[in-house]
Amino acid sequence: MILRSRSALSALALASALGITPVLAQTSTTPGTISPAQAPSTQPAPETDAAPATAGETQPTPSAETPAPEAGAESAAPLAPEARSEQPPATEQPAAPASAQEDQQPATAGAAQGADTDTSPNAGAEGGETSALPEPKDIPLVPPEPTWNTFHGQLNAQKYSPLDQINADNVDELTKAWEVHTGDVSDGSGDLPTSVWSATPVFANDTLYLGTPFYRVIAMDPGTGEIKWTFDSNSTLEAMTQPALKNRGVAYWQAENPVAGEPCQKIIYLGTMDAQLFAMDADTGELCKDFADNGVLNVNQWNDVNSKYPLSLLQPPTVVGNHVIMGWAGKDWAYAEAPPGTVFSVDPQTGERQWQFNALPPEIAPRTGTANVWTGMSADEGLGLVYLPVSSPSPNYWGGNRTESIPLATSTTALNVETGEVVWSRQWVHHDIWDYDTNSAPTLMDIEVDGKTIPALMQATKMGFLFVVNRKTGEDVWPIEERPVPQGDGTIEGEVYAKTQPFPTKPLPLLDQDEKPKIWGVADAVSFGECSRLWDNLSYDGMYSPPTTKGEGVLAYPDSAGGVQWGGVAYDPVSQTAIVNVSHVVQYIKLYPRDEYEQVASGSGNEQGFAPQEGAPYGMRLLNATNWLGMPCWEPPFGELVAVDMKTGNFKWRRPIGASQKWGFYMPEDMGSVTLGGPAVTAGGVIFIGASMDSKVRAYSMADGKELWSDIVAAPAVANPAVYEYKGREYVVFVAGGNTILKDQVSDQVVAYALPEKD
Amino acid sequence: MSTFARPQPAGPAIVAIAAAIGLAVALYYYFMPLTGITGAPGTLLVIVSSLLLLIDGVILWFAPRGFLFGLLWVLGLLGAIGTLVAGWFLHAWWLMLAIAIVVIGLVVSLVLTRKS
Repeated sequence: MILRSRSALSALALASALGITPVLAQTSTTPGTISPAQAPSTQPAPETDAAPATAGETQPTPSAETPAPEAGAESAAPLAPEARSEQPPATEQPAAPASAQEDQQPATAGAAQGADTDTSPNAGAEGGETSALPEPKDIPLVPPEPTWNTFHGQLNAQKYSPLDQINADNVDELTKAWEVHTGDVSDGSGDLPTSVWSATPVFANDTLYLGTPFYRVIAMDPGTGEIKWTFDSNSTLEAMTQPALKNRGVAYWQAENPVAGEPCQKIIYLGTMDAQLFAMDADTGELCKDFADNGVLNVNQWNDVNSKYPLSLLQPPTVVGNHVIMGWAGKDWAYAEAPPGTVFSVDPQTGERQWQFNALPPEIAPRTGTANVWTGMSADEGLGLVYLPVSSPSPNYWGGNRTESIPLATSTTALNVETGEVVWSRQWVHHDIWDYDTNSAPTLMDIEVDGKTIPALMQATKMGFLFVVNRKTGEDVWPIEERPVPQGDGTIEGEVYAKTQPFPTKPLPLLDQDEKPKIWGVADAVSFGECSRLWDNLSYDGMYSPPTTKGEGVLAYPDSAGGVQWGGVAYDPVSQTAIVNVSHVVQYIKLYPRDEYEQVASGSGNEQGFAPQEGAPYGMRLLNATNWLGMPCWEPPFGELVAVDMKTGNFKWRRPIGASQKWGFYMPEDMGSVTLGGPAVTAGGVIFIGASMDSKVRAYSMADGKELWSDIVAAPAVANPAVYEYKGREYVVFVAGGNTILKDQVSDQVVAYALPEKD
Repeated sequence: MSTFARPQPAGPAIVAIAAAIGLAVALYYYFMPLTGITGAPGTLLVIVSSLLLLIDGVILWFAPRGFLFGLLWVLGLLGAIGTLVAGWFLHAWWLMLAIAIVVIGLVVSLVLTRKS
């Protein structure tokens, strides 16, 4: 109650700051939260009939080679009847009239009628806790030993190392310990597409493992960088679903009770753009013959709805116990009807499918798609939950084909790791028509608020929001309010807008979304008023202004490339401080009626340009709001590093991060840089992060954000760094792979730093 | 026999030598890995401007006082200032030092003249 009273005041203050008048609560529902019983899209394991809910390590399920067809599986695991009754038949998909929305969008309709100031009580989620939470296990959230054996360091995605050999006092003495160039790089000038590399190394088995954008695995000595072995998948090097060759690394599993002398008791997993999952012995790099088809699992065999492109395995799987859990990446903006979002859990040694999660109700899936999980996941092994950051449905910028409730889209969804069943889910964007994919693994943390220890979860978003909920139940830690949002200008055929969207009250938004961003006078002057003219031709009614056909379109701030990206939030569990890098990026979106689109569409780049949205009545264009010189039209800073005190939800400090760079020219550091990638934090009181445009890697003080050290690398380090100890020496490793979203500079460099060795 | 006022060679020599050093530094920045501006168009720009300053210094060495001298001097100063600004934005501190000496050379070439 204390929380609610205080948060109500905060909410009113924030709403006032946002220029929004909150409507007083009329209901106590939580629109974006669902329980298992409510979940219209909960899809238990396809093998549920064949295997008990405890399928997994002790109950092998039917082989991956003979999976049950997905459709059949769905029919074997029906939706909750009340939810199903709300779904229209797949053939009845024309744009829903406005009057139909309230029936078909229960998640938003309730809120629209009673937009409230406190949506924290989640009866559904509470029900989920009692009915679906697995038996807890005695596994601590924070590993007792220094661990960096997953994409985000630990399954809790804290990116935290308890090592303190390198600390705030001596970090300026860091020197390059070793450097490796993998040779797997392409700038796009030859026959190969550009390579984009955001892998975080995995430290396990006294080895450092890396995947490359040419779909090879490199095993290195952690102390010298010397190559132990390499594995080449010989995968096709085509940009099938992405604008570039892309890889985010590998995953590692080891048997709890290894069998002496047997291979593949420790396994490395590598995914490819063409949906193949390779499993190889971590000691030798030899394929594991017992895994699927001689070491290769064809995940595309489960791509059986709108299979317009392969299920690209760019993000390494998340390994939780004896579950190798993987989402996939698709082709954004291209199609209205696309593969519907799925997540698979397979046996680590056989590749047999254990369960499958479907984000979309089967009735809707054929005429929409995605809501996939393309980024990292996190897991609490003690609670037996895996947390999915679920992306937006397709097409990305028009929703007339999906006006029904899709409660698991653009959400954080907690699954029972043993069964794949939904325990709870929170939707962060209702009826997403902005490509606001939930794009990073939620960070799990135990926090003390008002004297109580709360098992919490922080979900950062592209919108610049940090949603904090109880990770057992999905309930608010600080209130998350449903607030009215713009309803469009009436130009878009078939569209039905969500009347409200969730807004967190604490921590405050990382971006100032209350009004149109201010024009940067320098950029405007240099371009003789080009920025002012652009601003005049862009509509904007506040956050969640829908796409339009008018003028130059609608201003998007934050936009799909801004806010917080896949690096997510790092967390120091000792000081209970969350660290996050946020980008201030303004873009603008315009929809073109199909006939007009065919005439005007030209090239498309990485995260901007024209895109057809085939099957929708509109193509789209998304551009950065820059002048003819490429200078941002909006005021700096362009990127910041932010520290949040999780005991209070208040910011400790925030400061510009990195420097912007164009054609080699650096902008002043107080302007900061747009960032891709994320931080790692250590018990030494140091934040390590690359991510900035200027291709520097840096160390900042946890205490005050002061820059303590930096070095130049070959391209922007667009992944989180890895921190580990090997033979008594602490290392921090950056992969400087680059990403053309930031700038046209890519590399194959891996570089490790350490303190100088003492004689 | 006519008499021409010529700059003392010290000034243009300073300009030319400092510009040559600036050129070498800029080439280093362009081709050496991990300078932060390796292969960057901005670095290419200061390579060209340093080369032009070098040429400017050589011509000033031989040019008599007059319109041509004045024109080249002014162009040299503008080029040096532009290169300094570019160097600042490129974080090319050694280049800036070299170009600062070019500016000194230009001043010297204006102050010191010789008869020939």
